[in-house]
Amino acid sequence: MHFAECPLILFTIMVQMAVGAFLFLGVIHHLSLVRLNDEIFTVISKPILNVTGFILVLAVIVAGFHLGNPINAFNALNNLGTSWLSREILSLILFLLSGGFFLLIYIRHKLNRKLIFSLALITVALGYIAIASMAMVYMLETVPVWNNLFTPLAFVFTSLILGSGAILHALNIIINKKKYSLLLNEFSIQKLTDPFKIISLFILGLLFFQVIIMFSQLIYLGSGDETLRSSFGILIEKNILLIILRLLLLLSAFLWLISLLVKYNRTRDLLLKRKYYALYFGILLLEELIGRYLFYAMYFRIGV
Amino acid sequence: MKKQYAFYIDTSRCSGCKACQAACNDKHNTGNGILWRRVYEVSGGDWIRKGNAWLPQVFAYNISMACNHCEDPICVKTCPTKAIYQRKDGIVLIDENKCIGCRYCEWSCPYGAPQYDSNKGVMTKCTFCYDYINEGKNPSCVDACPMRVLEFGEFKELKKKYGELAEVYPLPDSSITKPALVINPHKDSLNKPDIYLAISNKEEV
Ligand code: SF4
Ligand code: SF4
Repeated sequence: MHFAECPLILFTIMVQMAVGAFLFLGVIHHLSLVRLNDEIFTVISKPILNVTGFILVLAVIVAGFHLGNPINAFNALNNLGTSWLSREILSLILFLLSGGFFLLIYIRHKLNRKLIFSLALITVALGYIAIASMAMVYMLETVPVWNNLFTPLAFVFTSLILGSGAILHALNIIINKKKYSLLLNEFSIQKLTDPFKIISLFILGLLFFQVIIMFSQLIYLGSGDETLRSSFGILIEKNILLIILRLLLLLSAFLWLISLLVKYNRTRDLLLKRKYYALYFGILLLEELIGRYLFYAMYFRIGV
Repeated sequence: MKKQYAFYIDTSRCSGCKACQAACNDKHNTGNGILWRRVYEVSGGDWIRKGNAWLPQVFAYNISMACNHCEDPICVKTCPTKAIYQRKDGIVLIDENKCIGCRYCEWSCPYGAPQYDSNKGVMTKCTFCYDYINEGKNPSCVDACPMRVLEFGEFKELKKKYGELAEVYPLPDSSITKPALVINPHKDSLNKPDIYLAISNKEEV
C-alpha cells in the first residue's frame, strides 16, 4: 500500500460514518418520538448534526490531500458519462447539499414535520447512493480483488457499524452534560433508553456478520484464481497480525456490548456511564480503520 | 474506417538491452523515476523428468511495453476529468492542464502505462511521439532498438503482416482494453500453465 492511500482511508471512513450516523439519529428519533417531546429531541440532536456536518467537511478537505493537483479539482465532474469517480463526487455533493438544507430547516424546528421527515429521507437515500458510487469506484474489471460484492458490503457495514456506534456515543455524551441533563427529566431519559437497546441489539447482529464476512472474504480470495490468490498472499504474509487484531477488536466490541446490555437490563443508569460507550466506539473505530487499511493493502491489479 | 496507430513487438528478438526505454526517457525528458516504456524480464522453468534423469528446463524472455493506445481504453473511461482522451488516430493522451492527479487511471490500466509525476502532481504517459509522427519520423523507441524489435504503424496493416496476437504472459487478457498491439511471441512465452514463471525485474519497472 502506498502512503498516498492514507487520505483515502480517512475520507471513506468519515463519509460512511457520517451517513450512518445521520441514519441512526433518524431511527432513534423515530423510535423515541412517540413519547418523547419533539423539542427536546431537537435540542439534543442539534449538536450531533453539527458534528456530523463538521466531519463531512473535514472528509472533503482530507480527500483533497489525495490529489496531486487539487487546483484542478473543479474538473472532477467532467466525466459523469463513464467515470464512477465523477459520479461519486456528484452524489457526495448532492448528499452534502441536501444535508445542509435539512440542517437549515431543522434548526427552525417550528417548521412542518412532514417536510423535515421527507428531507431526512432524501438525505439518507443520497448518502447511500454516494456510498454505492464509492463502491463502484473500486469495482474495476482490472482489480478482481475489489471487483466483487465484498466492496459494497464493506462500505455499507462501515457506515452502519460506525454510524450507530457514533450515535450511541454522542447521545451518551449529551445526556451526561449538565446543560442537557437539566432539560431531560427521568421520564425522557427512559424514553431514550428504549431505542438504545433496540439499536444495540441490531449492532450485535452487525458485528457478528462482520466476522462472517471477514472469513468468507479470506476464503474467497484464497480459493480464487491467480490474481485473487496474490492478494490473499499479501494479506497473509504481510498483514496477518492486523487481521488477528481486527478480529480481536470485533470480538471485544461484541462482548462489551453484550455486557452493557445485560447490566442495562438491571439498571438504566448505565446510560449515564459515559466512558463505557466512548471505549466501545473507540474499539470500533480502530477496527474499521484497520479494515480499511487492509482493503487498500490487498490491492492487486491484473497485468503488469 | 477509423485510423488506429499501433505498436508491433517482436519478443522473440528482444535482448532486454533497454535502449528503447532509454531513448524514450531521453526524448521526453521524463526523469523522476518515470518510465513510459518499460522492459519486463520474464524468467521461469522447472526440473523436467526424462527417463531416469531430471533435467533443468529454464528460459527467459523480455517484453518491451509502453502505452498500447488501446481501442477500448479503460483509463479514458475511468478518468474523472477527461484529462485522458483518445484522438481520432487512436493515440491516447493526457492533458496535464486538466489532470487532478487522482491516480485513478494508474489503478485501472492493466499495462502500467500511466506514470505519476510527483513533482508536477499529474499523470504522464507515452504520447506515441505524436510530434515525430507528424514530422513523418518514427517514435523514438522504434528507432532506438538495435534488434529491430519495435515497429509502429496502422493497426490493420500490422495485423495483416504479423497476425493478431496481443497477449502473452504477463500481459492481461486483451479483450479488456483491446490494446493496439501485435506480438510476435518468444517461443517460451506461449502459455505454459504448469511451469513456474514470473517477472524477474519487478524493482526496475
Ligand atoms: S495501455 Fe493503459 S493507459 Fe494506455 S490506452 Fe490502454 S488502458 Fe489507457
Ligand atoms: S490522475 Fe489525472 S489522468 Fe489519471 S485519472 Fe486522475 S485526473 Fe485522469
